[in-house]
Amino acid sequence: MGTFNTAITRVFDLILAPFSAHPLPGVVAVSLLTGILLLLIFRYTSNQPGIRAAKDLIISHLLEVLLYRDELRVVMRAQARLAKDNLRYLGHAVVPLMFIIPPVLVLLVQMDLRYSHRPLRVGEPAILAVKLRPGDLSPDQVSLSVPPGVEVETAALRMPTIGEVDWRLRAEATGQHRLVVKVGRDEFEKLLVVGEQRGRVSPRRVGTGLWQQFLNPGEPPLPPDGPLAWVSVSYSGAPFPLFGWRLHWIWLWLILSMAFGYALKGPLRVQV
Amino acid sequence: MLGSFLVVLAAVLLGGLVLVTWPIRFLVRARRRRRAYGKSQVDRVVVIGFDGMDPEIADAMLEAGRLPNLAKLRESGTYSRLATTCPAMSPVAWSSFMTGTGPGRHGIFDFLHRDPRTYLPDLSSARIRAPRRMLRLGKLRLPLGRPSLRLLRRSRPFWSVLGEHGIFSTILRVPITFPPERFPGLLLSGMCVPDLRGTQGSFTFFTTASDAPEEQIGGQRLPLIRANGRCHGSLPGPSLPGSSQGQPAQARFRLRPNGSAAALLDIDGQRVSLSQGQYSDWVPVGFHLGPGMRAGGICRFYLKQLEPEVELYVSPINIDPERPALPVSHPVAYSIYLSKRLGRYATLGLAEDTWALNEGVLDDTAFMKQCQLMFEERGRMLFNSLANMRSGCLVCVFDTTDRVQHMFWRYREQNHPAPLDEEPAVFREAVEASYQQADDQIGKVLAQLGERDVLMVMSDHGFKSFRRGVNLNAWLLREGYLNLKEGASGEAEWLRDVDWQRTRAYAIGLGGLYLNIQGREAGGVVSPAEAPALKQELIEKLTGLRDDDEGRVAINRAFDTAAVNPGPYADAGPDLTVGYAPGYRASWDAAQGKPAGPVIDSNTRRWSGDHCLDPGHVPGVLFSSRPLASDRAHIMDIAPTVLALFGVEPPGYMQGRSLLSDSGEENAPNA
Repeated sequence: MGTFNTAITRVFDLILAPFSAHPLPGVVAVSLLTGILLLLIFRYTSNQPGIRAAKDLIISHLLEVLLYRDELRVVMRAQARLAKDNLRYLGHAVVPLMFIIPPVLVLLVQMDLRYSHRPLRVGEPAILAVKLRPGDLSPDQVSLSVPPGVEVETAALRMPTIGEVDWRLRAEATGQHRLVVKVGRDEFEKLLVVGEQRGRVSPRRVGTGLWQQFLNPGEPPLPPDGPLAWVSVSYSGAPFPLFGWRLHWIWLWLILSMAFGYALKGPLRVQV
Repeated sequence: MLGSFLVVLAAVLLGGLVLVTWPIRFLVRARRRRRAYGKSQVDRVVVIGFDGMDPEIADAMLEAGRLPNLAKLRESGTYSRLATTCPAMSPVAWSSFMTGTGPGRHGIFDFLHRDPRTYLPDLSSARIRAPRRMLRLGKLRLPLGRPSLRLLRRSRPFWSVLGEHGIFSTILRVPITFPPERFPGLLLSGMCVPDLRGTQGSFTFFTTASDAPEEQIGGQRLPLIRANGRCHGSLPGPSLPGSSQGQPAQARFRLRPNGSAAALLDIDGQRVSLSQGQYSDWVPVGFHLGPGMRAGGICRFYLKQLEPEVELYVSPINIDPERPALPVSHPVAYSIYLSKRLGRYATLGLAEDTWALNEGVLDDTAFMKQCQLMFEERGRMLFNSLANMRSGCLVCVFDTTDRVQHMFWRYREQNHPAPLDEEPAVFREAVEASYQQADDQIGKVLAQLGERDVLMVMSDHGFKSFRRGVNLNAWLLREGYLNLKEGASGEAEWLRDVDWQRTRAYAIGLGGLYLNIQGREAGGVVSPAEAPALKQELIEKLTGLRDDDEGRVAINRAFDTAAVNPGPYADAGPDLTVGYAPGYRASWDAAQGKPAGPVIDSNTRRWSGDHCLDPGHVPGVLFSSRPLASDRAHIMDIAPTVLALFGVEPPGYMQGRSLLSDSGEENAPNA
């Protein structure tokens, strides 16, 4: 999974390199690519004539309700047929969905890595949390070493019942700082990103579990047989300011990719 | 997915709304229905029209037991002849059917009328004009606004009167309903709906055998370029906006043979599989008219042959019912609904491409297949409407009987001068087969009707052979009523060779003859005072006009149009209407306005049966599931009869009488 994550992350770095100055063009570009990609997948994996036929029937039932509104029997029959043909339409969408979900998941994870959180500002505090695997180890055996540019503001808060140790840190200088968590004689690194520039921000480095590793591709996984379950930093969220609202990137992506999809389905001749 | 969700949401909301408002709607509907149907004798009246169904053929088939469902109607209800209009033409007769009036009151006297300012023919039923205002950007011209449409038929159809009384109607493909009028019901326009090029149907025939375009009547023959085992061509569409030469927009296509009897066609981003001798489904084709402007139509492709030359027929480009460039239904959503529910369908008024067969572009078998496809489309619409209506009036007109008789009459009789492409045995029974198909349809309709429903089956006129054509303009030329310009041959179409200063009468259309009257025609020379005498003189000379080659009378009688069709719009018609004898009709040269050539000549086109003759010889048929007082029934009587069945008093302007009793007023002396 580590190799896969590294490769995918590099691909996305490459795609988004031209948009590194500001995140909004990046989200727009990814939304456009998403729209095109999903349309193409839909086109080649779905039963296009079937979808077209189901959609036509759905529209015809809606029109039937309007045209024969005084014929209650026709209206009720049209409603029933509408529900049936809608199910048929959804049935046609199942296969392409199977093909669409994996790339969309990869894309969402990579977008999350870049647009969900922002780096710490200089002077801004954050919590570093270390979660131990269930076992014989005690939180007392965990210590932290930080490089110059990072201050540890509090003593370790050790919570033996849940196997977690927390510290409050403060960023003193911009840069990518490597925090070192020591457990006994073993050392584990966690990256702390400080600065104004948006970029990849990995809030959590995880250990075992392919799914967890897939969801946290920003750093190599912790050793599978090591004592740590995960190490995390509480970065702040990074909403997009839009017309006075502060939107999570996922909403922007969802709206834009749908808009691009609808705009391009005609030129790409895709029945959705 | 989101769309699906929204549809479900919309459906649930609509369903909820319907259920919540149901008690109120029920009460309102019950009240409205009581008012609308309080005096009604029926729940539904279904009128099925079979254009051109002839009583003599029907009689023979009834006698032979070949029309069992129509025979049932005859036994339990009514069967009679149905007198038609003068002239006996579909636009005229169907206008009388729907309005209950004669041509003098509905203003339709022919397929064509003439513009007295130019002497040029024009469609009689509708006026379509391009948008007047254009935005000019260099060479580019963009229309500002939509084309203007005007229905020229006057008087109100009976379904509009029914609607006023709260009775819902569905009207399917009745001729002369374009542009569609607003009324409380649903209507799909019929005859006279143009194609996307604005014509009444222009086919395109592509062939590798020729490298030069060639105009044909009713279409074009265009080159198909062969290169690297493929062929390519350009399908002409509607005229580009502002193009002074009427330059058409083009849709390029490629045709790739795929085996010995199939090909793949790439057009407008679609790939269509074609099989030799089979029609494709309707294919939507878009034409780029300018920046942001696109006109879409639908057409069928017919791969005629691949060897030795590739030949591809393309049907007239019909207005797409799903995205109509011009409205073809009321409301507009109705044509969309039918298309989404039943599949795309022909919208062109004269949907069966008789010109393609006449010109030899399609053969008999291909034409018959086309007729079959149209018949099936119409049947689907009829039964959809029947299933959706528990009360009200449903009218549906099938054209196939008319088209088959026009084109296959030559197989019915020996020594018809028109060519036979197949062994006579193959199509000898083509007309009868179309009647049997109609009868089958009636059987299916009867199965869906209840006790309080009435079915009427009728035709607008009958049919006779068309063996000999009469060129009235040639006769007028011979008799000195019409003169040509100095040195002109008379071969030019649309009377362009005529010297109007020396012409007293001229013919346009399939039965009309006009006097060149001062103050009415641009180059009029006949004073209004002279006109009655000249009219009488022409009537006398034309009545009994003989065909010396055949030793028969070619013209039974000539009518003073205003006298047989009185009314406020009588002046819109020709001065005289010619009633040809059976076997005769206006010749093809006459129809094209060419005065040159013989007065009477043999008809050698495949269009070999016709009805544009003395109306007394071509009555239609009337069957009804309810006994009617049908002796002397006239097509104008159908409208008041339907109104009477619903308990609605026929409006005063209707000239027909209800056939529900014998005590009605007499018909106007029409025909």
